[in-house]
Amino acid sequence: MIRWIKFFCLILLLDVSGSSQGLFSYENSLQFADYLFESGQFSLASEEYERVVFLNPHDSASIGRLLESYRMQNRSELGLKRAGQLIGDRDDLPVKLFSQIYYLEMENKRFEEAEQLVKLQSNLDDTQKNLAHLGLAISQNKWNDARSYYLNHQMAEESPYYTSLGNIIQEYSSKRKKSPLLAATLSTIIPGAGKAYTGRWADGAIALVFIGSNAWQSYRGFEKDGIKSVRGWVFGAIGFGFWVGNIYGSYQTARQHNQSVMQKYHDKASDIIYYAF
Amino acid sequence: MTRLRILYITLFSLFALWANGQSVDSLIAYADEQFTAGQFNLAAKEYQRALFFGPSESVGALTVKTGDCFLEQKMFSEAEKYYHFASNIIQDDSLRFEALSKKSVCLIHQHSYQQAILDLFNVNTEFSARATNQKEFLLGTCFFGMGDFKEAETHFHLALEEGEIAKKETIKTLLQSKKLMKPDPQTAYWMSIIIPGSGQIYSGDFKSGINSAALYFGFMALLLNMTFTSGWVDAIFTVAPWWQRYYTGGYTNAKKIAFAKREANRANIYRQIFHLINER
Amino acid sequence: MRKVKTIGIVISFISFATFLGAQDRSYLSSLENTFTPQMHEHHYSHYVKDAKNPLDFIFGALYLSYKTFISSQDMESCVFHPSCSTYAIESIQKKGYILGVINAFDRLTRCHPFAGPNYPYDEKSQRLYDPVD
Repeated sequence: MIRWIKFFCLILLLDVSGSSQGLFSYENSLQFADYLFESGQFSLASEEYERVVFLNPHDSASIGRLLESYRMQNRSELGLKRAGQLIGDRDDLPVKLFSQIYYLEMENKRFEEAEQLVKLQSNLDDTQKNLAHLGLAISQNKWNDARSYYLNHQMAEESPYYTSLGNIIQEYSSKRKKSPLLAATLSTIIPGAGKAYTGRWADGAIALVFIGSNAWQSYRGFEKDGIKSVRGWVFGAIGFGFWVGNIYGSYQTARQHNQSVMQKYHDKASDIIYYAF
Repeated sequence: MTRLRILYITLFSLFALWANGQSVDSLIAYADEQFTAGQFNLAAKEYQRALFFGPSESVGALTVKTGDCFLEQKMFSEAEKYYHFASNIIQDDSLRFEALSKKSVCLIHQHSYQQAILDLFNVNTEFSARATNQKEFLLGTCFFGMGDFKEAETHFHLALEEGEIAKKETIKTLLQSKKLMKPDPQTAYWMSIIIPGSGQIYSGDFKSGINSAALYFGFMALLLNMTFTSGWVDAIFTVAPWWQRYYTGGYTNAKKIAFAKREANRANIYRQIFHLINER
Repeated sequence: MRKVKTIGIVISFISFATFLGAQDRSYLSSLENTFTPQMHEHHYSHYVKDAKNPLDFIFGALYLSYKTFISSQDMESCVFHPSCSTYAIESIQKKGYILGVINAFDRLTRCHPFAGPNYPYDEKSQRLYDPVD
């Protein structure tokens, strides 16, 4: 009889432990975390992956997704911190996990660490290594470095990612930049011309109209009442303000134009790098 | 003796099954508790876990609960998605009504009255008089939002019990009150076109009316002054654009002010109706 | 035994009551103020209050009186967020009096209906987004 009672107790114990673990077991949590991640609920997913990773610290795929969910929430700083705590040894990581740490390092502007990380990997093939190097150069806006690196590392059988990244780099390098000084000079001579040069035709036209009409008003004032004309001075001052403003604005617009062209290519390149791994 | 042993084993196995079901239930109970405590994101996550692992019969109810987590946070378009999904899979009338009426609340908050009306007309509330009342109240709210006060009155009346005659009378007077239509934006607009500032004063914004009139007449004086001193060409090029600008600004503003005041009046009347119907 | 039963009944009653409460409570009550128009309170006076010197005070006062008496009477004519006047005073604070004013003059010539494609759109203010950088 005692034997039977022991047997029942064992069964009971197994069942109960099974059921209480059930929902929160490693496998189920992982499944649920993947569901949250794939349905785009990254904040909930990161909480769940934290537990998954706690239950199985060797699950590198989940660590990768945990880091990615932090990144998707724009919490790269926390992501990088967790990467430091969860991953002791940074060499020879699985490619997926490597890429997440690489992105986090770049988003935290820790370019040297990222470069170090790339050097430690032996799981990356040549294309991936080259892509990682180009990505680093571009995120630091070192376009010339990127270009010469690409030209020195062209490969016989390139992946489409690598080719299109190379194309983007070369396209940007051949793009004509606008000179801020030329824009300012043009606007000094003909109001609004500098703006037109940077591609902002409407801004230039409005500036020309504003400056022209104020100058004309001022001229009429002075013509009528001489040097004491209030109207002459008021419109003159406003017109002068618009003129100086336009010169300064043309200089700034040229700079911003170059900046935004670079940003456009930077974004295009980032899209490729973020897909490549 | 052997039979008894078999019986014991069967019983314990059944207990184990029950315990497993129990763990989803306790998960839901935990989520409910988090919901009550105001931890809506946590609750939403646990409801979804229960959805993910629980039996298929509970999917509808759990989807509604997940929606509730978003509704509580006033994330109406997010909540609406969950209620919409739930209403498509729920068979039970009472639960389906809950999903659809919550969905229509989300729609009303987003000013999509037509869509809410369509949903409400398609929901069956025969199972309880209370649900019917609630549906009619929501319909009344939709028509009120659309400015159809006659239709709103019909539905608000249906939202009340047969015997609540006094309340019905009050609602009738409230919905026929002139305040619902006053101040009239179009009137304010034309008043300010004819006499700058008057439309704003009519709408109850005395300060803005005076301000507008001062700008208008100020620029007019400047315009006349310049016409006499420097000639009409200069006057038209330098002052007329400003004069015109604040004239146009004035009557456009008058219309806006009247509209906002009328909205506030309507909101006030709706609030009274809301309390009449929902406080019993 | 009876005690246990009583406690059980009490507990189930309480939980049922909270269940009903939770059901009824929130989702209709949120409708009470659904038609109340959202009023945006504007505060333009802090540039005057926070002025550190007379020149700051003058610019702050100019801004305050423009916003209160003139801009309020205008149509919604500025295409940008922040508006030209706010941009001007922020520009003066960030770039100093001379460069700030010059920059503000440039902003006025950029503010026109054809500015669209060159600026990001700000959903909240429904304007083109162009802050002082």
